[in-house]
This record gives sequence, structure tokens and C-alpha cells, in this order.
Amino acid sequence: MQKQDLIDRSPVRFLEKATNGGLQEGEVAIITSKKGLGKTSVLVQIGLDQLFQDKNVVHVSFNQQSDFVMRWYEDIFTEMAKKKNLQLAKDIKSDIVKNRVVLNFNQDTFNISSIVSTLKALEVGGVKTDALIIDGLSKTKLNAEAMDQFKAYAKEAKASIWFSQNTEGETLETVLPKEITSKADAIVHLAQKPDTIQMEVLKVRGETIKDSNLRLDSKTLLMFEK
Amino acid sequence: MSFDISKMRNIGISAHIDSGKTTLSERILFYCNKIHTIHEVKGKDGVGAVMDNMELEKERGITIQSASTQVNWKDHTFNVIDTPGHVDFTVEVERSLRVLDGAILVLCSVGGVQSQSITVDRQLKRYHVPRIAFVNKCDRTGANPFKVRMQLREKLGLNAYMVEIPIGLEDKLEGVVDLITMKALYFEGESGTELRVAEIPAHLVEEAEKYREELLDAASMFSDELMEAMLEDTVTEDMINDAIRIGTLSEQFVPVYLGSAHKNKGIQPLLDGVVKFLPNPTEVKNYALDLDNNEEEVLLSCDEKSPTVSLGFKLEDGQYGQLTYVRIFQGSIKKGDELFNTRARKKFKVGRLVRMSSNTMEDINEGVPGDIVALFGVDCASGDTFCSPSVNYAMTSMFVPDPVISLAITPKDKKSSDQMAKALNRFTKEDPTFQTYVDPESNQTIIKGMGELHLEVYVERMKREYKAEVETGMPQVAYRESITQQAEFNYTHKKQTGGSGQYGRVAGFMEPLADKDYEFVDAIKGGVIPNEYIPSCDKGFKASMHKGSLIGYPIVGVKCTINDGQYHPVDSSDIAFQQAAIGAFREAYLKAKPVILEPIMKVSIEGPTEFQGNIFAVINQRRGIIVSSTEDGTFSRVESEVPLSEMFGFSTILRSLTQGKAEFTMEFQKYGKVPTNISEALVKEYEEKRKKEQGK
Repeated sequence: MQKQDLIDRSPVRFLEKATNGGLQEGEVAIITSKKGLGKTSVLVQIGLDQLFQDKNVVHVSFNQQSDFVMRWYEDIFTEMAKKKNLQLAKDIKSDIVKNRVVLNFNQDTFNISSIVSTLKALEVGGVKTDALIIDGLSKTKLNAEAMDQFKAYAKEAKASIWFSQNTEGETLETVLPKEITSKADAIVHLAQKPDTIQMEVLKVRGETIKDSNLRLDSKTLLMFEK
Repeated sequence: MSFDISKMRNIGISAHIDSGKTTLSERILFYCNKIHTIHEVKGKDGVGAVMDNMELEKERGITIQSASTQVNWKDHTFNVIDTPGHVDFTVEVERSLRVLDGAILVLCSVGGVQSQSITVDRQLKRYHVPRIAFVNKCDRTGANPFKVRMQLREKLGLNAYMVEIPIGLEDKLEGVVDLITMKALYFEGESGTELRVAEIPAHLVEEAEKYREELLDAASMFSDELMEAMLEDTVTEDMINDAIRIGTLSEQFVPVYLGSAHKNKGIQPLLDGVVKFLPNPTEVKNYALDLDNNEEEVLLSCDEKSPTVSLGFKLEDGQYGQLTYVRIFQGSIKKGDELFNTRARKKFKVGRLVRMSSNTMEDINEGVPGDIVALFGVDCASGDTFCSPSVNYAMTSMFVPDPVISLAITPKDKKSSDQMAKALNRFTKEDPTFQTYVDPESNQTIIKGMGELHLEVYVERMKREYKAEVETGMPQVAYRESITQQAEFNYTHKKQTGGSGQYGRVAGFMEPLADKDYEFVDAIKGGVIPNEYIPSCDKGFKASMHKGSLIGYPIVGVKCTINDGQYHPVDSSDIAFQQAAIGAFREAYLKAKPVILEPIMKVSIEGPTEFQGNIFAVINQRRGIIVSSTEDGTFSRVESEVPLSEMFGFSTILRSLTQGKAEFTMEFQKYGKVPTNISEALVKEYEEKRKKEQGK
């Protein structure tokens, strides 16, 4: 019941609204921005939202420190639970992290197929991936072929994939090369505005969306609707 | 004998199993001219390393007990404290950390920083032990000391810099380049004892320059003098050494040495490194607790004239009788001195005083501050503090975790029974995490400890050292019971058996309590229960906590509040209110939705990535949660949480699943709720057992 409350009022609902229903099985989305605007926070909110819905989440990072990722989940969860005045938050927390696996790769030595083979190994081991979150993927590893591999995996495993990319660009044309943007199902961009961080939906399934009312709270780093 | 304390080093060798720690220890003894031949750990010749002085350790190739051995290197004296490598024996590791002043962190050049290295390093950090690193096994295929250096930085967060680079690697390892002197060192002669200093080979000059610059940049953070000298290009060896020493002592810098203990390469510079960069006893701050002053911390001074404060950190029952290894933190210990055991509150006289060099022993008259000596025939337990009678100090009490696993043992015959009692008496004194008791219901002797291997080792030792043959039962997990919701009680205890009766009524509620075992709250108003009987209620609740009604294990995490009650001027008594509280507890307990808790272990498995699928599967089959997996090249480490009850025989299963290429470490993490189906089975099993016992 309380979990349902968390789902209903999760900041991810706003994102879903802005992206015509959110990401579906088999789809791949990218969140882009300059360094330090809150990409990880958005990814963790998406991850937690999936966990509330009893989905299995695999979170991939490249900093060799799984503790770091787990702390992000702790902090964002605490923020979300605080806002909702949730009782028994502790129980829910220990309940949901059961479904989360953090994978760590060495940026220098890994390639996209090593992520896919680890995910398959997890599946063999009895852990199905419903949502895959990849934070901090190096630009040099991202090309059309990598996108195809992601898409193929998402289709095959019936999973959704979100990953982040650092970029200096601001528009659909400039954030990432066309060979990548054309293959993504959705692209969300964080833009620094004078008094706020605006979330712009650059693309959803072929459509471009001009304005969104999505913002990122500069204190809590949670998404909200203006 | 006048003794220069600044020339003394108490060092430990901390490492992951199989990184070659024991071989390195032996080489260190060898180079210090204490032993004359070098044996392998799992010796083909059956002689075995000197530091591993217990049969069993030799057989398993691991070191269990910490032995302290004194050696001389050039004009310095080292006490080498061999620390156990397996995490099941964590308390012993921690006990030895208390007495050492510096450590050599040994790493395998191929395996690098592995899960156990992380545990060991965490312990070193906790006890603020400065360390130097030694990348061993550089003669192995796949050796890469530079990679290990990076792992020290990334995985352990150490500010690690090479002070040497290798000349050749793998089977071409010839020697090392010393980046401080900028000379090449070769280790020649039959056992590498002849050190040849030469110019750096031409092809390595550029690399050496590069790493030296890195080293100097890092070291200059600790010395303005060095920084200025670098600008003026007037750097001297002493300046570099001083800067590194400052950084190392403050735990902000870790110099990295390399070599191969097995191939006798790189040991002498490492020993020089111990002298140059690790602290002497006067440079380490040690604190004791003043038992006469609320356990206030007292800074000890490594001074001969102050009252003696020393710690008995290891007992040994060997061929020479009972020995107690003692680290002297303050004052001195002389033959004939009177010392006070502050735990046992007993005085004793120092009889024979010896210094141990592994299996040989020399009689001495005096132990100086900072030194490690051994006393004969002192009745004490491991971890006791011995002081001059004028002070009443205890060395910082060490954290002792509760045992998580137990095993019933039955002696096979009468002789074994006597010997078993002797052995248990000894082991429990040596190791606070090893406990024993007789179960009043089954009348069986139960031993408790930190893991399957921990108990196994003691059973083996009984057999070998005490000739006590015992049969062991199935290992039992130390379950707990706890409640999940608030429940009220209102219980009247009334008994009329002629003479004065018993009367007491207790009302209130119990509720779950996080992070604490038990709490009692007195909210009685208007004296409906007189003050004198309040402690009786507390006592009654406490007594109820010993054994839960689900499966008979101790209850934890309960807060009992009493807010109402009634007494009788004649019939009420201490015992009546205790009984009332027990009744009240029983009444509320089942209403409070009790659950069974089980120990959950943090299990970390490491192996080649190709076996990842198998590793994930084996965790999943055992009700485990995969927390994370870290992949680095062909190796990956999987962190998981698995109930202890599912971990029996895990090492065998893991070995067969991964062709022996994966290994795991296990540590107690927390207590967690047992799933309903298993909880029901446990309750049923307990009820059947009780029925059977009642039927007898």
C-alpha cells in the first residue's frame, strides 16, 4: 500500500508524462547534459521507480566503487521517502534493494559485449534484467554499432535501457552524432537555466517535443513539474 | 644491556592467502641470518616454514596463529609478527594489529588487490598502522606490479607510489631499479644474498626517470625542503627518505616495493624500507584505559622508567610449557618483577623471561619498552593487560563479535573426554570468539565460533595437539527471535499454597526496538507497583529474552514498557513480580508477531569472468542477493549477501563449479528475517524435538 503511494507520486511520473508514457520494453533512451547537472540523480530516480514496481534493475557504473552507487540510491530514496512522509521506509528500502544489482566495469578494458555477456550470465544465474541503467559510459565506446547492440539486447531481454552521456551540445542536432540520436527511442537533456535546471525532451519515438515543464530541484535533485 | 629503542621495529606481514606471505616471512628470517635453509610453505621436503609452527597450518598452507619472532637486520632489531591470513580468524588478526607498529602489505603481482586484501587493509586502517607495500611473485606469468599499484590507489584509496621498478618481469625478472638512489640492484649468489649494485640498464633509464619524478612529486607534499631542492635541482637521498617517512608514518603515503620472495629477489631493499619508513615504538601513540578513572584514555610513553603496561596478546602451549607473548608498551619487565593482571585482579611474579625466534628461544633478564617478549607459566587469558601494581590500566578492549555458528562435539572415549576438556579450556583462553558450553537439554558440549573453517580448525587441533578424538554434529546457525509489532500485556500472577502467597499484576506493552537488544521503560504512576519491585519486572523480562518460544533461540530487539499493575501488601514479593513479568512477556510475545532472524553473511567471490554465470547461479540457489559485480579485465568480483545456513560446504561447491579458480571470503554482516516457508519448517522441527524430549 505504501509502496503504491511511492509509485503514484514518484517524480518519474512527470517524466513519463513528458515522454508520452515513458520508456517501454525493448526501448533505449539517453540522458545528456554537461557534467554535474544531475544525470546520475535522474537515472537513480528511474532505477528506484522500477524497483518500487518490483522490477529487477541492473545499474552499470565504471568507477570501480559499488558503494558509491549504492549511496546514491540511499540518498535519493531518503529524499523521496521524506517528501512522502513514508512510514516503514526502512522496510521498503531493504525490500527493494534485493532486486538491484550493481555492475562495475573498468572503462579501459570493457566493451559493450562484456556488459551483455554479464547480463546474460545474470539471467543464467536466475536474475532477469527488466531495466538497465548505464551511468558514465565513455563517449569513445558509443557508436552506431554499440547502439545496435543495446537495442538488440533490449528487444531480446524485453528490458528498457537508460544511459547517460556528457555533452556540451544543447539541441538534438548538437548533443550527439546523428548516427546515435537516430537510433535512440528517447533523448532527454538537462539544461542549466539562470535559476533552475530544465529537463528538455529532445526526442520521443521520432517526435520532437518543444517545451516541457520538467525541472530538477537544485537541492534534492528530484524531478518536478513546474 | 643498553638498548636503542629507535632501532627497533615491530612489524606485521599482512596479506591475502596465497600471496606468498609465509614464504616472504621465511625469506626475511633467512636474510636476517636466523635460519639456514629455505623451505617452501607446502614443503616438498616436509620441513615447512619456520613461522608456521603448527602442524595443521603447514598442512593447509595457511597461517593461523600469530607468532612473534625477533630478527636482526643490519644494526636494527625487528619483531616480526605473523598475522593470520584467513578472515575466519579475524580476531586473531586484530589482536596482532594491536601490538605491531607498522606493516608490510603483501600483494600478488598477478592477482593484485583481492577481496581479502581489502579486508586486511581495512583492519590496518582501523588500527592506524602505517604500511609499506610489497608486490610479490613478480616472477609469475602475468605479473604486473604497475597494475597492482593502480589498484592500491583505486580499490584501497592509498596514496601509493613505486620506489622501485622491475628489471624484467615474469621469468625474466632480474632485479629492481631503486628510484631513490637511481641504481640497479641485482640479487646474486645461491639464495640471492649477494647484492650487486650497478648502473640502470640503458633501456630502463627513461622509465626510471618518469617514475622517479612521480615519486618525488608525491613525496615533496610532505617536505618543503624537498620541494625547494627539486626546484634548485639539489635533491639528496636523505631528503627523499625523510619526506617518504613523514608521509608513511602519517598514513598518507605508501611506498611500493616489488620482487619475488620465492626467487629471492627484492627482499633486502624491502628490509631497508622497513628501517627507513616504518616507525619505531617511540613514534607510535598507544593508549590505555584507566580502570580507576572511568576508563579514561591515557597516553602511554615508551619509557623505561614509567610504570609497566603490557599486553599478553598470544598464548602458546608448546614443547616448552605455557608461554605468553607480551608486548611492552610502557616501562620494562624484569625477572622477579611483580606484575598485576588487571582483568583477573591477580598479582604474579615474573619467572622465566624469554625471547622467541620462531622455534628457538633465548633466556633474557629484561624486556625493554616497545619490545615483545614471552613469559613462562603465567595463568592468564589472551588479551589480558599486565601492569606494575601502582597502576590499574587495561589496553583498549578489542571489539569481539558474537559467534554465529555452533557445533555439537562428542568425545569418542574417556581419554578423549579428559583431553577435550583441556583443549577447550586452552582454546577459549586463546581466542575470545571461540566459545564453549554444555547444552543443559541435550547434555552435549557445544562449540561456537565465527565460521565453519574456524570450528574445523579447532576440532583438528584437538585431534593433533591433544589426541582428543571427537565426533561432530551438524553445524548449527545461531538464530535469533524478534518481534515485529506492538502488543499489550496485562498479567496477574497469583499463587496460594499455604503460608504467604504470591501476588503481582503487570500491565503495559512490548514493541520492536531497532539497533539494541533490550530496553526496559518504567512508566508506572502513583506507585501501583512499588519502586522496590520495578527491578523485579525488569529481571523477569530479561529472563524471558533468553529463550524465545518459536524455536528456543535468544530474543533480541524488544522494548518493554510497564504502565500499570497491582500489588498486595503481604503476598507481593520480588519473585512474584518476576513471575508476573515472565507471564506478561509470554502473553504478549505471540501477539507481537515474532519472527526468526538468521545471520546473513557478506560473501565476496572472486574468479575469472568466464565463471560469472555459475557464481551468480550458486548465490541465487542459496537464497542469496547479488549486490554488485566488479569486472576488471578477465577477473571479476561478486559481492553478495547469503544466509549463513546456506553456506555450509560452500568452498567445495565453489571449487567444483569453477575448476578451483574462484575463491571466496565471508564475514558476518547482519541478522535478517528468515523467509516464511523456512521459518515454518524450523518451528515444526523445534516442536518435534521438544515432543521427543518430553516423551523420553
